[in-house]
Amino acid sequence: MGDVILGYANYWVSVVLLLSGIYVVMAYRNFVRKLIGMSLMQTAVILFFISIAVKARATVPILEEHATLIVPAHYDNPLPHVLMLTAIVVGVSTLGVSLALVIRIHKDYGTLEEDVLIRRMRELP
Amino acid sequence: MSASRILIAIFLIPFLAAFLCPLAGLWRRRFVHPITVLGLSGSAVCAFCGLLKVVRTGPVHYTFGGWAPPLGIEWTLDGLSAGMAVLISSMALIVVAGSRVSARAEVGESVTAFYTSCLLLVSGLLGLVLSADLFNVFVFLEVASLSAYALVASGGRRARVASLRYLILGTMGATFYLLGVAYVYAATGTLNMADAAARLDPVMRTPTAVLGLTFIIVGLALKMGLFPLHGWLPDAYTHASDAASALMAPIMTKTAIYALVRILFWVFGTGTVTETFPVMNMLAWAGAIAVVAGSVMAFTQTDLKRMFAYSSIGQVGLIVLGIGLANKTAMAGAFLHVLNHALMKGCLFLIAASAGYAHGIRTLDDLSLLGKRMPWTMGAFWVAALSMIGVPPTCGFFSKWYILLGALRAGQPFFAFLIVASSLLTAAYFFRALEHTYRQRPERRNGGEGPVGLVAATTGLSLTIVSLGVLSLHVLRIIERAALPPGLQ
Repeated sequence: MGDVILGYANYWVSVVLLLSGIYVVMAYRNFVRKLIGMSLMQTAVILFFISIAVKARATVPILEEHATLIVPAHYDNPLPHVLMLTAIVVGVSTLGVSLALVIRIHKDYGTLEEDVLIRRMRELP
Repeated sequence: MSASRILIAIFLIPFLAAFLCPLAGLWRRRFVHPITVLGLSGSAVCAFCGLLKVVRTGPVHYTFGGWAPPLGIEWTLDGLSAGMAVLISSMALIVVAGSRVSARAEVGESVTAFYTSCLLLVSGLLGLVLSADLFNVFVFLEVASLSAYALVASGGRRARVASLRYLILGTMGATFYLLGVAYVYAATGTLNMADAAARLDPVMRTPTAVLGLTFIIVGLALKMGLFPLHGWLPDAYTHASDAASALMAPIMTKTAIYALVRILFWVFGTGTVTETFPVMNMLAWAGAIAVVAGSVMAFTQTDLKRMFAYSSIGQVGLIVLGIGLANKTAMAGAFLHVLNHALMKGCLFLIAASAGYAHGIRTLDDLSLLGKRMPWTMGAFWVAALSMIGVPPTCGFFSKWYILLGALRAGQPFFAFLIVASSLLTAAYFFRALEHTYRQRPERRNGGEGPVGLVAATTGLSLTIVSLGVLSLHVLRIIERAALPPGLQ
């Protein structure tokens, strides 16, 4: 039992993060909170992806200068790390664009509550 | 030029133009539009050459940095991706070239940012279509989507709210897709599509692979606006600036459909998705529900662009239904409908742009002005509307016909009935619009046709709609020979 929880701790954390992200996006009306939920989801997937790369008793995938015998099992899988670097960049740019939109919307409407916004949007000329 | 260079040029030309645009915009803003048109036409020419090459001699591959495929990133140009590349670059070229005046009127000062986003959108979609790597597809999906959020937001105050809602749902879709890719990677240890296809077979019955399949389908369904995951689409297409919605509506949802087909049939394999896990059956039902729901919702709209947007939801459903039937006839019909619907929707949104620019026409009621003042635009509107309904000899008839035949071949007469019913619904809402064009109203307003570029683009597209209808047997033959998934019955 302890193994199921502790042995897979990072997977559990990513599941909890993903589900709470979805919950926040769907349950809250404020756009900034929705964006927080969105970021939580992205972070969950990044954590998940990194977790697949881990091997027991392995180290960072950097070769020592004079290494002659390379055993892949001694190193973590570097590919998911590299992919997630890209995914983080994608996430940051999405967040940047969304925050720019949030600022403009707040300037235009003076609120960030979704239901109020939709009502005011309909009333615009 | 060697074939693999043509492949990379399809993407690189608009991508480099996207970098050139802001620089030119700093110096002289009037150079931005010509650069965009040049970049897009270069890409379209390369895509046509690539298509000819592929139909004649078979798929072309390109490996980045010379790393052999399972390690390095591979791009592939086969019948399907070449066809999509031609569709994306030439539709974008027509829309951008035609809508110069209306875009200038709408986005004003920020014309540089607008065209840079257009180029980034097109190059993102082209990269997505050409890539044969699952993670690469995610990156390009996001490049295209980020530019699309910016383009939607260019439409003013309402559009910014629509854009933010689109952004949240779109990012959720991309996140689900990425999670699905993580599962596929965990199951196979590879991201290359061909390599993953070979390795997935023995592990396909594990929960890991099944979860990967599920998350990828959900993520892409969000991106393509498949009912009931269409929430972002109507507002985004309605409130975006006219030029932007004419650019996005024909090609964006289609590219998500392409990605889904590519991954389901080329990575998971035809046998897996039709027999081991009958997801195609579920997709067919989802598509059938979408086609009816989209048409019903389109019927209740009074805003012109919003009606087109809901009709897009219905047509995406029809394409997904054709794909879900998973036999050669229906699949060929669905691919043909991707092409036809892109032409029709591009034409309709350009007509909306033209009518909005010349006379401020926004609702169905205003369409009476179209009849009196804009004969050319009105002609194009008739052709596109008849094609949406599916009246021969326009191209819309033939693709619907083949999907219907495929439904009968699959032994699903109920789906065939739904396709006919949705055509009747489409007829109902388009005839309502056409009727408005003949209604007499006492008001007198000055002005006539829209800008020359828009008139040329809409007339050209409507002629293409008719001639593609006449030539549809040839197009179908090319699709059947070069684009259908392997192993399909």
